[in-house]
Amino acid sequence: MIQYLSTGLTVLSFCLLLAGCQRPLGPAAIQPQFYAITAAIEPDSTEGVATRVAGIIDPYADQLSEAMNRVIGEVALPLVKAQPESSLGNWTADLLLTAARDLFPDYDIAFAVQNYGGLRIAQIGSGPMRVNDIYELMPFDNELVLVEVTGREMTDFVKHTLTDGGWPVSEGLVAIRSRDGMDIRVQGKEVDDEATYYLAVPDYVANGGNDAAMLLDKRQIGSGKMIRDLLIEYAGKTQGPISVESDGSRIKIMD
Amino acid sequence: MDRRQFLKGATIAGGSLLVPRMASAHSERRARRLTILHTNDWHSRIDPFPDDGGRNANQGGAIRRASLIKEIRSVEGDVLLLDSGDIFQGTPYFNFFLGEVEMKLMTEMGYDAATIGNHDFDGGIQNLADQLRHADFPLLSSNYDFNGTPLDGRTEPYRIFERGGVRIGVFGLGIELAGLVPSELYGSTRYLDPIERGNETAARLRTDEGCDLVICLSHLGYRYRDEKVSDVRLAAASRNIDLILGGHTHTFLDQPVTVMNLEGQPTIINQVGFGGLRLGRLDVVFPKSGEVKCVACSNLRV
Repeated sequence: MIQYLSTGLTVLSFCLLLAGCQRPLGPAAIQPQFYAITAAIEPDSTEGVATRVAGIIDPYADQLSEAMNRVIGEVALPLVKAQPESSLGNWTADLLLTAARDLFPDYDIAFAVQNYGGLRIAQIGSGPMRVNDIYELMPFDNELVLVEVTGREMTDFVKHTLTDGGWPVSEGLVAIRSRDGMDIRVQGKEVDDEATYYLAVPDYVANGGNDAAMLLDKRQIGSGKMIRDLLIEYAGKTQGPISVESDGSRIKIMD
Repeated sequence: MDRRQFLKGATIAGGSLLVPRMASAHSERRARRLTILHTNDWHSRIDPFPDDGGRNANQGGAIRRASLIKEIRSVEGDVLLLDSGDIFQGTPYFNFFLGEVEMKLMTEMGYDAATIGNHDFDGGIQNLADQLRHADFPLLSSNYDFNGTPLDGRTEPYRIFERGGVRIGVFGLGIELAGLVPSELYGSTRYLDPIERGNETAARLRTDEGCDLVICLSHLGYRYRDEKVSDVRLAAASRNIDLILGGHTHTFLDQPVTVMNLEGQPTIINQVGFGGLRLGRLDVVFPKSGEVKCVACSNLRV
Protein backbone atom coordinates (compact mmCIF):
# COMPACT_ATOMS: atom_id res chain seq x y z
CA MET A 1 0.00 0.00 0.00
CA ILE A 2 1.34 3.40 -0.92
CA GLN A 3 0.29 6.80 0.20
CA TYR A 4 1.07 9.90 -1.75
CA LEU A 5 2.50 12.75 0.24
CA SER A 6 3.51 16.19 -0.74
CA THR A 7 4.59 19.31 1.00
CA GLY A 8 4.49 23.02 0.62
CA LEU A 9 8.24 23.01 0.33
CA THR A 10 10.09 23.20 -2.95
CA VAL A 11 10.90 19.53 -2.78
CA LEU A 12 8.06 17.37 -3.94
CA SER A 13 8.12 14.16 -2.05
CA PHE A 14 6.40 10.89 -2.49
CA CYS A 15 5.75 8.58 0.38
CA LEU A 16 5.15 4.91 0.33
CA LEU A 17 3.15 3.53 3.17
CA LEU A 18 3.97 -0.10 3.21
CA ALA A 19 1.52 -1.38 5.74
CA GLY A 20 0.31 -4.85 6.55
CA CYS A 21 1.60 -7.40 8.99
CA GLN A 22 3.90 -9.17 6.51
CA ARG A 23 5.90 -5.99 6.01
CA PRO A 24 9.02 -5.86 8.07
CA LEU A 25 9.48 -2.11 7.65
CA GLY A 26 7.34 0.91 8.30
CA PRO A 27 6.08 3.54 5.83
CA ALA A 28 8.61 4.73 3.31
CA ALA A 29 9.10 8.08 1.70
CA ILE A 30 10.56 8.72 -1.71
CA GLN A 31 12.33 11.90 -2.63
CA PRO A 32 12.99 12.35 -6.35
CA GLN A 33 15.55 14.36 -8.26
CA PHE A 34 17.58 14.06 -11.41
CA TYR A 35 20.99 15.07 -12.60
CA ALA A 36 21.68 16.52 -16.02
CA ILE A 37 24.83 14.97 -17.41
CA THR A 38 26.76 18.00 -18.64
CA ALA A 39 30.24 19.42 -18.73
CA ALA A 40 29.56 20.70 -15.20
CA ILE A 41 30.44 17.20 -14.05
CA GLU A 42 34.17 17.08 -13.86
CA PRO A 43 35.73 13.70 -14.49
CA ASP A 44 36.57 12.17 -11.16
CA SER A 45 40.21 11.56 -11.93
CA THR A 46 41.32 11.41 -8.33
CA GLU A 47 39.44 8.17 -7.78
CA GLY A 48 40.48 6.79 -11.11
CA VAL A 49 36.98 6.30 -12.53
CA ALA A 50 37.43 8.61 -15.46
CA THR A 51 40.73 6.99 -16.33
CA ARG A 52 39.27 3.50 -16.14
CA VAL A 53 36.23 4.43 -18.24
CA ALA A 54 38.39 6.20 -20.81
CA GLY A 55 40.61 3.13 -20.84
CA ILE A 56 37.60 1.01 -21.82
CA ILE A 57 36.42 3.40 -24.53
CA ASP A 58 39.66 4.51 -26.15
CA PRO A 59 40.69 1.32 -27.97
CA TYR A 60 37.27 1.20 -29.65
CA ALA A 61 37.16 4.94 -30.35
CA ASP A 62 40.58 4.78 -31.98
CA GLN A 63 39.37 2.15 -34.42
CA LEU A 64 36.40 4.29 -35.43
CA SER A 65 37.72 7.81 -35.54
CA GLU A 66 39.25 7.95 -39.01
CA ALA A 67 36.29 6.46 -40.89
CA MET A 68 33.66 8.24 -38.83
CA ASN A 69 35.23 11.68 -39.02
CA ARG A 70 35.42 11.68 -42.80
CA VAL A 71 33.64 14.78 -44.12
CA ILE A 72 31.07 14.04 -46.82
CA GLY A 73 29.41 17.40 -47.24
CA GLU A 74 28.71 20.83 -45.89
CA VAL A 75 25.41 21.68 -44.21
CA ALA A 76 24.38 25.29 -44.81
CA LEU A 77 21.04 25.21 -42.98
CA PRO A 78 20.54 22.81 -40.05
CA LEU A 79 18.60 19.72 -41.08
CA VAL A 80 15.90 19.40 -38.44
CA LYS A 81 13.60 16.46 -37.75
CA ALA A 82 9.94 17.26 -37.17
CA GLN A 83 6.43 16.13 -38.00
CA PRO A 84 4.44 16.15 -40.19
CA GLU A 85 7.23 17.30 -42.54
CA SER A 86 10.77 18.56 -42.00
CA SER A 87 14.02 19.50 -43.68
CA LEU A 88 15.80 16.40 -42.35
CA GLY A 89 12.93 14.16 -43.45
CA ASN A 90 12.69 15.70 -46.92
CA TRP A 91 16.44 15.55 -47.42
CA THR A 92 16.60 11.88 -46.42
CA ALA A 93 13.59 10.80 -48.48
CA ASP A 94 14.74 12.72 -51.57
CA LEU A 95 18.17 11.08 -51.40
CA LEU A 96 16.49 7.68 -51.11
CA LEU A 97 14.36 8.43 -54.17
CA THR A 98 17.41 9.50 -56.17
CA ALA A 99 19.28 6.38 -55.10
CA ALA A 100 16.28 4.15 -55.87
CA ARG A 101 15.94 5.61 -59.39
CA ASP A 102 19.60 4.79 -60.02
CA LEU A 103 19.28 1.30 -58.54
CA PHE A 104 16.01 0.40 -60.26
CA PRO A 105 16.13 2.06 -63.71
CA ASP A 106 13.43 -0.29 -65.04
CA TYR A 107 10.78 0.75 -62.55
CA ASP A 108 8.64 3.85 -62.41
CA ILE A 109 9.02 4.74 -58.75
CA ALA A 110 6.16 6.77 -57.27
CA PHE A 111 8.00 8.16 -54.24
CA ALA A 112 10.24 7.20 -51.32
CA VAL A 113 9.19 6.95 -47.66
CA GLN A 114 11.24 6.70 -44.50
CA ASN A 115 9.54 5.90 -41.20
CA TYR A 116 9.77 8.85 -38.83
CA GLY A 117 10.94 6.74 -35.90
CA GLY A 118 13.75 5.40 -38.10
CA LEU A 119 15.48 8.78 -38.11
CA ARG A 120 17.34 8.67 -34.83
CA ILE A 121 18.66 12.18 -34.29
CA ALA A 122 16.85 15.47 -33.86
CA GLN A 123 19.05 17.38 -36.28
CA ILE A 124 22.25 17.61 -38.24
CA GLY A 125 23.66 21.02 -37.45
CA SER A 126 25.29 23.41 -39.90
CA GLY A 127 28.93 22.84 -40.72
CA PRO A 128 30.71 19.77 -42.00
CA MET A 129 28.60 16.63 -42.36
CA ARG A 130 30.56 13.57 -41.32
CA VAL A 131 30.05 9.86 -41.79
CA ASN A 132 29.34 9.73 -38.06
CA ASP A 133 26.27 11.95 -38.54
CA ILE A 134 24.75 9.45 -40.96
CA TYR A 135 25.45 6.54 -38.63
CA GLU A 136 23.63 8.39 -35.88
CA LEU A 137 20.81 9.41 -38.23
CA MET A 138 20.37 5.89 -39.58
CA PRO A 139 22.04 3.34 -37.31
CA PHE A 140 19.92 0.46 -38.55
CA ASP A 141 21.08 -2.06 -41.10
CA ASN A 142 18.00 -1.53 -43.24
CA GLU A 143 18.07 -2.31 -46.94
CA LEU A 144 16.43 -0.02 -49.49
CA VAL A 145 13.75 -2.00 -51.32
CA LEU A 146 10.93 -1.39 -53.73
CA VAL A 147 7.54 -2.60 -52.65
CA GLU A 148 4.83 -3.22 -55.23
CA VAL A 149 1.33 -2.16 -54.20
CA THR A 150 -2.02 -1.31 -55.71
CA GLY A 151 -3.30 2.23 -55.50
CA ARG A 152 -5.71 1.14 -52.81
CA GLU A 153 -2.94 -0.41 -50.71
CA MET A 154 -0.77 2.66 -51.23
CA THR A 155 -3.59 4.86 -49.92
CA ASP A 156 -3.90 2.69 -46.80
CA PHE A 157 -0.17 2.99 -46.24
CA VAL A 158 -0.11 6.76 -46.69
CA LYS A 159 -3.06 7.06 -44.28
CA HIS A 160 -1.10 5.04 -41.74
CA THR A 161 1.91 7.37 -42.01
CA LEU A 162 -0.33 10.38 -41.37
CA THR A 163 -2.03 8.66 -38.43
CA ASP A 164 1.46 8.27 -37.01
CA GLY A 165 1.95 12.05 -37.31
CA GLY A 166 3.48 12.19 -40.79
CA TRP A 167 6.51 10.31 -42.07
CA PRO A 168 9.30 11.70 -44.22
CA VAL A 169 8.36 11.42 -47.92
CA SER A 170 10.14 12.41 -51.08
CA GLU A 171 8.96 14.65 -53.85
CA GLY A 172 6.26 12.92 -55.84
CA LEU A 173 3.79 12.55 -52.97
CA VAL A 174 1.39 15.16 -51.67
CA ALA A 175 -0.97 13.98 -48.91
CA ILE A 176 -3.42 16.33 -47.23
CA ARG A 177 -5.76 15.20 -44.51
CA SER A 178 -8.57 17.51 -43.50
CA ARG A 179 -12.03 17.19 -42.06
CA ASP A 180 -13.21 16.39 -45.57
CA GLY A 181 -10.91 13.35 -45.73
CA MET A 182 -7.67 12.47 -47.46
CA ASP A 183 -6.42 13.95 -50.69
CA ILE A 184 -3.44 12.09 -52.14
CA ARG A 185 -1.58 13.08 -55.30
CA VAL A 186 1.21 11.03 -56.79
CA GLN A 187 3.30 12.82 -59.38
CA GLY A 188 0.49 15.36 -59.42
CA LYS A 189 -2.19 12.80 -60.29
CA GLU A 190 -5.04 11.21 -58.37
CA VAL A 191 -4.47 7.67 -57.17
CA ASP A 192 -5.84 4.90 -59.39
CA ASP A 193 -7.02 2.24 -56.92
CA GLU A 194 -6.37 -0.62 -59.35
CA ALA A 195 -3.04 0.54 -60.78
CA THR A 196 0.36 -0.78 -59.67
CA TYR A 197 2.76 1.53 -57.85
CA TYR A 198 6.36 1.07 -56.70
CA LEU A 199 7.43 2.69 -53.44
CA ALA A 200 11.05 2.96 -52.27
CA VAL A 201 11.13 2.14 -48.55
CA PRO A 202 13.37 0.57 -45.90
CA ASP A 203 12.92 -3.21 -45.78
CA TYR A 204 11.93 -2.70 -42.14
CA VAL A 205 8.82 -0.86 -43.29
CA ALA A 206 8.18 -3.20 -46.25
CA ASN A 207 8.21 -6.09 -43.78
CA GLY A 208 5.43 -4.49 -41.75
CA GLY A 209 7.62 -2.64 -39.26
CA ASN A 210 6.34 0.44 -37.44
CA ASP A 211 2.89 -1.12 -37.79
CA ALA A 212 2.89 -0.93 -41.59
CA ALA A 213 1.03 -4.25 -41.68
CA MET A 214 -0.62 -3.31 -45.02
CA LEU A 215 2.73 -3.82 -46.75
CA LEU A 216 3.29 -7.32 -45.37
CA ASP A 217 3.64 -9.99 -48.05
CA LYS A 218 3.61 -7.49 -50.91
CA ARG A 219 6.13 -8.14 -53.63
CA GLN A 220 9.54 -6.66 -52.80
CA ILE A 221 12.48 -5.97 -55.06
CA GLY A 222 15.69 -5.81 -53.05
CA SER A 223 18.59 -3.50 -53.83
CA GLY A 224 21.22 -5.22 -51.70
CA LYS A 225 22.20 -1.75 -50.48
CA MET A 226 21.87 -0.44 -46.99
CA ILE A 227 20.07 2.85 -46.56
CA ARG A 228 22.87 4.22 -44.42
CA ASP A 229 25.47 3.47 -47.08
CA LEU A 230 23.29 5.06 -49.76
CA LEU A 231 22.82 8.20 -47.67
CA ILE A 232 26.59 8.48 -47.19
CA GLU A 233 27.18 7.92 -50.92
CA TYR A 234 24.49 10.30 -52.17
CA ALA A 235 25.19 12.98 -49.57
CA GLY A 236 28.78 12.85 -50.83
CA LYS A 237 27.59 13.43 -54.41
CA THR A 238 25.65 16.57 -53.50
CA GLN A 239 26.96 19.61 -55.34
CA GLY A 240 27.51 22.56 -53.04
CA PRO A 241 26.30 23.13 -49.49
CA ILE A 242 23.19 21.25 -48.33
CA SER A 243 20.41 23.77 -47.95
CA VAL A 244 16.98 22.20 -47.55
CA GLU A 245 13.89 24.04 -46.42
CA SER A 246 10.62 22.27 -45.72
CA ASP A 247 7.62 24.30 -46.85
CA GLY A 248 4.97 21.84 -45.68
CA SER A 249 3.75 21.17 -49.21
CA ARG A 250 4.17 17.38 -49.04
CA ILE A 251 2.30 16.36 -45.91
CA LYS A 252 -0.48 18.41 -44.35
CA ILE A 253 -2.60 17.38 -41.39
CA MET A 254 -5.39 19.91 -41.01
CA ASP A 255 -8.05 18.11 -38.99
CA MET B 1 37.02 19.85 -5.16
CA ASP B 2 34.33 20.06 -2.58
CA ARG B 3 32.12 17.03 -2.99
CA ARG B 4 28.81 18.72 -2.41
CA GLN B 5 29.67 21.57 -4.73
CA PHE B 6 30.44 19.02 -7.38
CA LEU B 7 27.05 17.40 -7.03
CA LYS B 8 25.30 20.73 -6.87
CA GLY B 9 26.73 21.68 -10.21
CA ALA B 10 25.37 18.50 -11.69
CA THR B 11 21.85 18.95 -10.48
CA ILE B 12 19.22 21.03 -12.13
CA ALA B 13 16.10 19.77 -10.46
CA GLY B 14 14.96 18.22 -7.27
CA GLY B 15 15.37 21.14 -4.94
CA SER B 16 17.20 19.20 -2.32
CA LEU B 17 20.53 17.82 -3.40
CA LEU B 18 21.78 15.23 -1.06
CA VAL B 19 19.42 14.20 1.63
CA PRO B 20 21.62 14.24 4.68
CA ARG B 21 21.87 10.94 6.42
CA MET B 22 19.54 10.82 9.40
CA ALA B 23 21.66 12.22 12.15
CA SER B 24 21.44 10.03 15.19
CA ALA B 25 23.82 8.93 17.86
CA HIS B 26 22.04 5.61 17.97
CA SER B 27 22.49 3.76 14.73
CA GLU B 28 19.67 1.33 15.46
CA ARG B 29 17.25 4.25 15.59
CA ARG B 30 18.41 5.61 12.27
CA ALA B 31 16.04 5.34 9.34
CA ARG B 32 16.85 2.74 6.74
CA ARG B 33 17.55 4.43 3.47
CA LEU B 34 18.31 3.52 -0.05
CA THR B 35 19.35 5.56 -3.09
CA ILE B 36 18.02 4.35 -6.43
CA LEU B 37 19.84 5.64 -9.51
CA HIS B 38 18.43 4.91 -12.92
CA THR B 39 18.83 5.40 -16.66
CA ASN B 40 16.94 4.34 -19.77
CA ASP B 41 17.44 4.34 -23.55
CA TRP B 42 21.06 5.35 -23.45
CA HIS B 43 21.39 4.04 -26.98
CA SER B 44 25.14 3.52 -27.19
CA ARG B 45 25.73 7.22 -26.41
CA ILE B 46 29.22 6.63 -25.09
CA ASP B 47 30.71 9.99 -26.03
CA PRO B 48 28.81 13.22 -25.36
CA PHE B 49 26.45 14.31 -28.13
CA PRO B 50 28.32 15.90 -31.06
CA ASP B 51 29.19 19.58 -30.85
CA ASP B 52 26.80 20.59 -33.65
CA GLY B 53 24.90 23.45 -32.10
CA GLY B 54 21.93 21.20 -31.42
CA ARG B 55 19.85 20.99 -28.28
CA ASN B 56 21.95 18.20 -26.77
CA ALA B 57 25.36 19.30 -28.06
CA ASN B 58 28.20 18.27 -25.74
CA GLN B 59 25.82 16.73 -23.20
CA GLY B 60 25.81 13.24 -21.80
CA GLY B 61 28.78 10.88 -21.99
CA ALA B 62 29.85 7.78 -20.13
CA ILE B 63 32.86 9.28 -18.36
CA ARG B 64 30.73 11.97 -16.75
CA ARG B 65 28.02 9.51 -15.81
CA ALA B 66 30.53 7.13 -14.24
CA SER B 67 32.13 10.00 -12.31
CA LEU B 68 28.77 11.19 -11.02
CA ILE B 69 27.71 7.69 -9.96
CA LYS B 70 31.01 7.17 -8.21
CA GLU B 71 30.58 10.49 -6.44
CA ILE B 72 27.08 9.60 -5.23
CA ARG B 73 28.26 6.19 -4.06
CA SER B 74 30.98 7.81 -1.98
CA VAL B 75 28.33 9.80 -0.10
CA GLU B 76 25.46 7.32 0.02
CA GLY B 77 26.11 3.90 1.43
CA ASP B 78 23.29 1.94 -0.15
CA VAL B 79 22.82 2.48 -3.85
CA LEU B 80 20.90 0.48 -6.43
CA LEU B 81 21.78 1.32 -10.06
CA LEU B 82 19.24 0.23 -12.67
CA ASP B 83 18.57 0.58 -16.39
CA SER B 84 15.31 0.22 -18.30
CA GLY B 85 16.55 -0.98 -21.67
CA ASP B 86 17.62 0.17 -25.15
CA ILE B 87 21.20 0.07 -24.09
CA PHE B 88 22.16 -0.69 -27.69
CA GLN B 89 21.94 1.15 -31.03
CA GLY B 90 22.42 4.76 -31.97
CA THR B 91 26.12 5.39 -32.52
CA PRO B 92 28.81 3.61 -34.55
CA TYR B 93 30.07 1.96 -31.34
CA PHE B 94 27.13 -0.40 -31.66
CA ASN B 95 27.38 -0.90 -35.43
CA PHE B 96 31.00 -1.95 -35.19
CA PHE B 97 31.31 -3.53 -31.73
CA LEU B 98 27.75 -4.84 -31.20
CA GLY B 99 27.24 -3.73 -27.62
CA GLU B 100 30.53 -4.87 -26.15
CA VAL B 101 31.57 -1.34 -25.11
CA GLU B 102 28.15 -0.59 -23.55
CA MET B 103 28.18 -3.77 -21.47
CA LYS B 104 31.74 -3.19 -20.28
CA LEU B 105 30.91 0.39 -19.28
CA MET B 106 27.77 -0.60 -17.36
CA THR B 107 29.77 -3.24 -15.57
CA GLU B 108 32.43 -0.68 -14.67
CA MET B 109 29.74 1.71 -13.37
CA GLY B 110 28.36 -1.10 -11.23
CA TYR B 111 24.87 -1.52 -12.64
CA ASP B 112 22.84 -3.93 -10.51
CA ALA B 113 20.29 -4.90 -13.19
CA ALA B 114 18.73 -3.88 -16.51
CA THR B 115 15.73 -4.88 -18.53
CA ILE B 116 15.65 -5.57 -22.27
CA GLY B 117 14.56 -2.93 -24.76
CA ASN B 118 13.45 -3.58 -28.34
CA HIS B 119 16.72 -2.20 -29.74
CA ASP B 120 18.73 -4.57 -27.60
CA PHE B 121 17.69 -7.17 -30.18
CA ASP B 122 19.11 -5.12 -33.06
CA GLY B 123 22.23 -7.22 -33.37
CA GLY B 124 20.08 -10.35 -33.20
CA ILE B 125 19.15 -12.41 -30.17
CA GLN B 126 22.34 -14.47 -30.43
CA ASN B 127 24.37 -11.27 -30.22
CA LEU B 128 22.51 -10.13 -27.10
CA ALA B 129 23.28 -13.49 -25.51
CA ASP B 130 26.93 -13.22 -26.61
CA GLN B 131 27.34 -9.72 -25.17
CA LEU B 132 26.26 -10.95 -21.74
CA ARG B 133 29.79 -12.24 -21.31
CA HIS B 134 30.83 -8.60 -20.89
CA ALA B 135 28.04 -7.87 -18.39
CA ASP B 136 28.42 -8.43 -14.68
CA PHE B 137 24.76 -7.63 -14.02
CA PRO B 138 21.56 -9.55 -14.87
CA LEU B 139 19.06 -8.81 -17.61
CA LEU B 140 15.59 -9.06 -16.06
CA SER B 141 12.45 -9.96 -17.99
CA SER B 142 9.21 -11.38 -16.64
CA ASN B 143 7.23 -11.28 -19.87
CA TYR B 144 9.55 -12.55 -22.60
CA ASP B 145 9.57 -16.32 -22.89
CA PHE B 146 12.98 -17.16 -24.31
CA ASN B 147 12.46 -20.92 -24.39
CA GLY B 148 14.40 -22.43 -27.27
CA THR B 149 16.23 -19.17 -28.07
CA PRO B 150 19.88 -18.30 -27.41
CA LEU B 151 18.71 -16.31 -24.35
CA ASP B 152 17.07 -19.37 -22.80
CA GLY B 153 18.29 -19.51 -19.19
CA ARG B 154 20.42 -16.37 -19.66
CA THR B 155 17.96 -13.87 -18.19
CA GLU B 156 16.09 -13.77 -14.89
CA PRO B 157 12.44 -12.81 -14.26
CA TYR B 158 13.42 -10.84 -11.16
CA ARG B 159 16.17 -10.40 -8.64
CA ILE B 160 16.05 -9.52 -4.96
CA PHE B 161 18.57 -7.11 -3.49
CA GLU B 162 19.31 -6.42 0.17
CA ARG B 163 20.56 -2.91 0.80
CA GLY B 164 20.89 -1.40 4.27
CA GLY B 165 18.32 -3.71 5.76
CA VAL B 166 15.81 -3.09 2.97
CA ARG B 167 14.66 -5.96 0.79
CA ILE B 168 14.04 -4.80 -2.79
CA GLY B 169 12.45 -6.91 -5.50
CA VAL B 170 13.26 -5.81 -9.05
CA PHE B 171 11.65 -7.28 -12.16
CA GLY B 172 11.56 -6.42 -15.86
CA LEU B 173 8.82 -5.95 -18.47
CA GLY B 174 9.40 -5.61 -22.22
CA ILE B 175 7.37 -4.21 -25.10
CA GLU B 176 5.55 -6.28 -27.73
CA LEU B 177 8.11 -7.07 -30.41
CA ALA B 178 5.86 -7.98 -33.37
CA GLY B 179 5.47 -4.99 -35.69
CA LEU B 180 8.35 -3.24 -33.95
CA VAL B 181 11.39 -5.49 -34.28
CA PRO B 182 12.07 -7.59 -37.40
CA SER B 183 11.09 -11.12 -36.41
CA GLU B 184 14.40 -12.66 -37.48
CA LEU B 185 16.11 -10.58 -34.79
CA TYR B 186 14.09 -11.91 -31.85
CA GLY B 187 13.50 -15.40 -33.20
CA SER B 188 10.99 -17.52 -31.31
CA THR B 189 10.81 -15.20 -28.29
CA ARG B 190 7.23 -15.14 -27.02
CA TYR B 191 5.75 -11.93 -25.67
CA LEU B 192 3.51 -12.47 -22.64
CA ASP B 193 0.94 -10.04 -21.29
CA PRO B 194 2.91 -7.49 -19.24
CA ILE B 195 0.07 -6.61 -16.89
CA GLU B 196 -0.65 -10.24 -16.06
CA ARG B 197 2.99 -11.17 -15.70
CA GLY B 198 3.76 -7.93 -13.85
CA ASN B 199 1.06 -8.47 -11.24
CA GLU B 200 2.00 -12.11 -10.80
CA THR B 201 5.67 -11.26 -10.32
CA ALA B 202 4.98 -8.31 -8.03
CA ALA B 203 2.66 -10.40 -5.83
CA ARG B 204 5.31 -13.04 -5.55
CA LEU B 205 7.96 -10.47 -4.62
CA ARG B 206 5.71 -8.77 -2.09
CA THR B 207 4.07 -11.78 -0.48
CA ASP B 208 6.28 -14.84 -0.95
CA GLU B 209 9.59 -13.02 -0.91
CA GLY B 210 8.62 -10.36 1.66
CA CYS B 211 10.08 -7.43 -0.27
CA ASP B 212 9.82 -3.98 1.29
CA LEU B 213 9.94 -2.32 -2.11
CA VAL B 214 8.90 -3.69 -5.50
CA ILE B 215 10.42 -2.04 -8.58
CA CYS B 216 9.43 -2.70 -12.19
CA LEU B 217 12.02 -1.93 -14.87
CA SER B 218 9.79 -1.30 -17.85
CA HIS B 219 10.44 -0.81 -21.54
CA LEU B 220 6.74 -0.53 -22.33
CA GLY B 221 6.75 3.23 -22.86
CA TYR B 222 5.31 5.96 -20.68
CA ARG B 223 1.91 6.62 -22.28
CA TYR B 224 0.14 6.32 -25.64
CA ARG B 225 -2.86 7.94 -27.23
CA ASP B 226 -4.36 4.56 -28.05
CA GLU B 227 -5.02 1.42 -26.01
CA LYS B 228 -1.45 0.12 -26.19
CA VAL B 229 -0.13 -1.03 -22.84
CA SER B 230 2.14 1.56 -21.22
CA ASP B 231 3.57 2.39 -17.82
CA VAL B 232 0.50 4.48 -17.03
CA ARG B 233 -1.86 1.64 -17.98
CA LEU B 234 0.25 -0.91 -16.17
CA ALA B 235 0.27 1.23 -13.02
CA ALA B 236 -3.52 1.65 -13.09
CA ALA B 237 -4.04 -2.10 -13.54
CA SER B 238 -1.40 -3.16 -11.03
CA ARG B 239 -1.12 -4.32 -7.47
CA ASN B 240 2.06 -4.42 -5.41
CA ILE B 241 4.24 -2.37 -7.77
CA ASP B 242 5.71 0.59 -5.90
CA LEU B 243 7.91 2.05 -8.61
CA ILE B 244 7.95 1.79 -12.38
CA LEU B 245 11.23 2.95 -13.88
CA GLY B 246 10.35 3.24 -17.55
CA GLY B 247 11.83 3.71 -20.99
CA HIS B 248 11.15 3.41 -24.73
CA THR B 249 9.28 6.69 -25.28
CA HIS B 250 12.35 8.81 -24.38
CA THR B 251 10.15 10.79 -22.01
CA PHE B 252 11.80 13.45 -19.88
CA LEU B 253 9.80 13.53 -16.66
CA ASP B 254 10.96 16.41 -14.50
CA GLN B 255 9.04 14.86 -11.63
CA PRO B 256 7.86 11.30 -11.24
CA VAL B 257 4.19 10.75 -12.01
CA THR B 258 1.82 9.05 -9.59
CA VAL B 259 -0.99 6.81 -10.80
CA MET B 260 -3.52 5.08 -8.55
CA ASN B 261 -3.37 1.32 -8.84
CA LEU B 262 -6.21 -1.22 -8.67
CA GLU B 263 -6.27 -0.93 -4.91
CA GLY B 264 -6.48 2.86 -4.98
CA GLN B 265 -2.85 3.18 -3.93
CA PRO B 266 -0.28 5.26 -5.80
CA THR B 267 2.32 3.74 -8.07
CA ILE B 268 5.19 6.05 -8.91
CA ILE B 269 6.42 6.20 -12.53
CA ASN B 270 9.67 7.79 -13.60
CA GLN B 271 11.65 8.07 -16.86
CA VAL B 272 14.76 10.11 -17.65
CA GLY B 273 14.71 10.81 -21.39
CA PHE B 274 17.37 9.11 -23.47
CA GLY B 275 20.97 9.15 -24.60
CA GLY B 276 22.47 9.28 -21.12
CA LEU B 277 21.43 12.93 -20.81
CA ARG B 278 20.11 12.42 -17.30
CA LEU B 279 20.61 10.23 -14.30
CA GLY B 280 17.47 9.73 -12.21
CA ARG B 281 17.67 9.52 -8.46
CA LEU B 282 15.07 8.42 -5.92
CA ASP B 283 15.97 8.44 -2.26
CA VAL B 284 13.82 6.00 -0.34
CA VAL B 285 13.61 6.30 3.43
CA PHE B 286 12.01 3.72 5.69
CA PRO B 287 11.79 5.39 9.10
CA LYS B 288 11.19 3.42 12.25
CA SER B 289 7.62 3.83 13.42
CA GLY B 290 6.99 7.08 15.19
CA GLU B 291 9.82 8.88 13.40
CA VAL B 292 9.44 11.65 10.89
CA LYS B 293 8.78 9.95 7.59
CA CYS B 294 11.23 11.83 5.45
CA VAL B 295 13.21 14.99 5.29
CA ALA B 296 10.71 17.18 3.52
CA CYS B 297 7.40 15.44 3.62
CA SER B 298 4.64 14.72 6.05
CA ASN B 299 2.18 11.90 6.06
CA LEU B 300 -1.10 12.76 4.35
CA ARG B 301 -3.16 9.67 4.68
CA VAL B 302 -5.98 9.58 2.16
